[in-house]
Amino acid sequence: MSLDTPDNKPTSKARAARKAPASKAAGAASKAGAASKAGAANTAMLPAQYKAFTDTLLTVLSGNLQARVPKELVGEQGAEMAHLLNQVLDNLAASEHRKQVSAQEIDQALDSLIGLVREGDLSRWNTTTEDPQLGPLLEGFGKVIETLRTFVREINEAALRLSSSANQVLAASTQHETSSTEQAAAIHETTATMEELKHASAQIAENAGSVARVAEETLGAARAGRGAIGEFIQAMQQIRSDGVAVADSIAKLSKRVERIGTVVEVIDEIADRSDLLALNAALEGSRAGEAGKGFSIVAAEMRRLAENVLDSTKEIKNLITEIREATAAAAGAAEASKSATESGEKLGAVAAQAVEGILAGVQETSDAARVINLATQQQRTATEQVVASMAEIEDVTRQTTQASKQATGAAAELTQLAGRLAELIKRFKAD
Amino acid sequence: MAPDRAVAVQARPEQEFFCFRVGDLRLGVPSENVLEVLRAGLLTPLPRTPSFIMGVTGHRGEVLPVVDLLRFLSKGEARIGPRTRLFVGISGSYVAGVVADTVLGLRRIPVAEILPPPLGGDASAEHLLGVVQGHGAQDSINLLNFSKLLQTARQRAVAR
Amino acid sequence: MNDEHSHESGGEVDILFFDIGVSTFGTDASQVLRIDRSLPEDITLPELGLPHRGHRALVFDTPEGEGHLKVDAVHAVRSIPLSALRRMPPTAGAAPYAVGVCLEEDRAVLLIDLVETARTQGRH
Repeated sequence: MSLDTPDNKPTSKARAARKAPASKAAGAASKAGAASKAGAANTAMLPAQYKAFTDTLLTVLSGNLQARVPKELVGEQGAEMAHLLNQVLDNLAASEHRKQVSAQEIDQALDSLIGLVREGDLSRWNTTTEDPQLGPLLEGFGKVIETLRTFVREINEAALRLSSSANQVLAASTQHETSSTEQAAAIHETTATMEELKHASAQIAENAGSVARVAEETLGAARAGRGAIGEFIQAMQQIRSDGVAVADSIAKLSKRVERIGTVVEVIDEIADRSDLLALNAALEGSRAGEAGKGFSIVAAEMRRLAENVLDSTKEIKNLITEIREATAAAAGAAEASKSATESGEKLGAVAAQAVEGILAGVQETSDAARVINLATQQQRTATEQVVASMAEIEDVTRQTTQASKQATGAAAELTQLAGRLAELIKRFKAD
Repeated sequence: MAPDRAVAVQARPEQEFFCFRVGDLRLGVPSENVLEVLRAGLLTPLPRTPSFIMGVTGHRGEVLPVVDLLRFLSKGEARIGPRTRLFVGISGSYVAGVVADTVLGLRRIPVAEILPPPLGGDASAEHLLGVVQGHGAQDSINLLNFSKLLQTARQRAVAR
Repeated sequence: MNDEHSHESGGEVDILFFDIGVSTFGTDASQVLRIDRSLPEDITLPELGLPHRGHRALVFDTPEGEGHLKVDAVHAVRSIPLSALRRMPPTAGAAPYAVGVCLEEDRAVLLIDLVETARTQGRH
């Protein structure tokens, strides 16, 4: 920018230009002095009086514009002339003063302009003038500078606002980029999870299917078990009633055996008495000598019979004892069988109840497994839809992330530019 | 033919014995010493009697001392059960009941078959008439001199 | 001799029945002065069996004074026909106080001479 490099030349030119009018003015004054000399020669004047005029003019020409023709020296004849000349000198002095003031005002205006150009300082413009020729020019400059001042102020303010806004935009954009990246990660993770969920629900569906099949098989087995238990209970009841019949038979048998025992005791008693009778008869026969011999033989035979009977009854008694033991054992066994079948029936009833419970439970399990299978299949479909949707979302998010990255880049650049602008504007001093 | 038979009897004299078993002993008593056979009924123990007197029992209005031959012969101790027999033995005026587990019966034994009691036997040998061999060693029967036995018993009882 | 005569004439005699341990015995009731509570020093006859408690004593007269035989229970005094009584057979060789037997059907109740018991035991 050209404002950066201020040129010294215009200033030196201005100085040179400023000197020039002064020498012109001096030239003009000397012309005026020559003209007044020509007038004095036409009126015949004394040398003393004349000398007062020339001295004064010489003093003025040497630069002292305050010099005047003293009236006492010129007398009457020269009074009028002196008076006119003094008036001319007064006008000349006034004119010269006005020139000086204008030059000062121009100098001041130039200084302000130099400050404006070199340092951008608009604040120093405070120039006024009485000069009617210079006045409009300076007034025009002042208006321009005031406009510039306003501009600089507004631009400065705008640059500051712009910088702040650009920073906010950058922050927001960065935030957005971060969020967008996080969102993309989250979506990716969600998609992975949904994939897993899909697999898991497929597994669940498969397992539920297996459970349903097993439950079906169990149901069949439990139904078969129920039938078997029913048959078992019937068999137990049959055994129990058979056992009761057996126990009755055993009791009857036992009674009869006891009766036989009593009869055998009677037989035994009779045989024993017979034995004794026979023995004593034999003894009697023996004492009767030869006459009792036949009697003795009969008695001995009778005794042999009694002994046979006693042997037989002994055998019967042994048998009865065996039968008693056997019937006691059988009765015990029948009793044990009875209680065993009773407990068997009870157990059967319990088992039947248990199997009913199992049947109900398995039915429920089967139903539940079927429901689970169905639900997981639906879930799988839903999950697949979610996965597809998530893929779309991921795509969009990727784009968003890309865009926000670009936005962040732009915002960063904008922030930089705003900073630079603010920096530049700071060079113009408005106040 | 009768004289022949008589001759035969004379030629081979026999003696009739009441044979019984008590404990492990198989004994015989001459049948003339046996009045009758009973069941061993209720016994009334007696104070201070010799150990072979088991007590007394009433029979046909008489009081019979009951003798345990096992104890008397120092061969153990008799036990009375439901089938235990008691035979009424007699020798002169002395009557006693004798315990027998089983009555074998009346046996006519040829005198010639009666062997003398073994020499050097125990004290019981003094009351033996002899021994008759059976078919086996188990079947041999010791034949008692019941009169002497009863006498000894009485002596032992009274001597106390 | 009078006794012998009454035996044959079918008279009766009063027998007092009593228990010692598990056995029943009899004695001539006329020998018994009274029935008393037993005392520790009263006569016991181990041959007849050991008394359960021996709360009772049969008191009888001896030439040396009163004798006391310890018994468990005294049943009754019954008149028994002399025909039912038997002397102890000598072959039994029983104690001297076991003087005889009272036959009742199959049962034979031992008859005890109380005075003899005192003699056996010594003076009371």
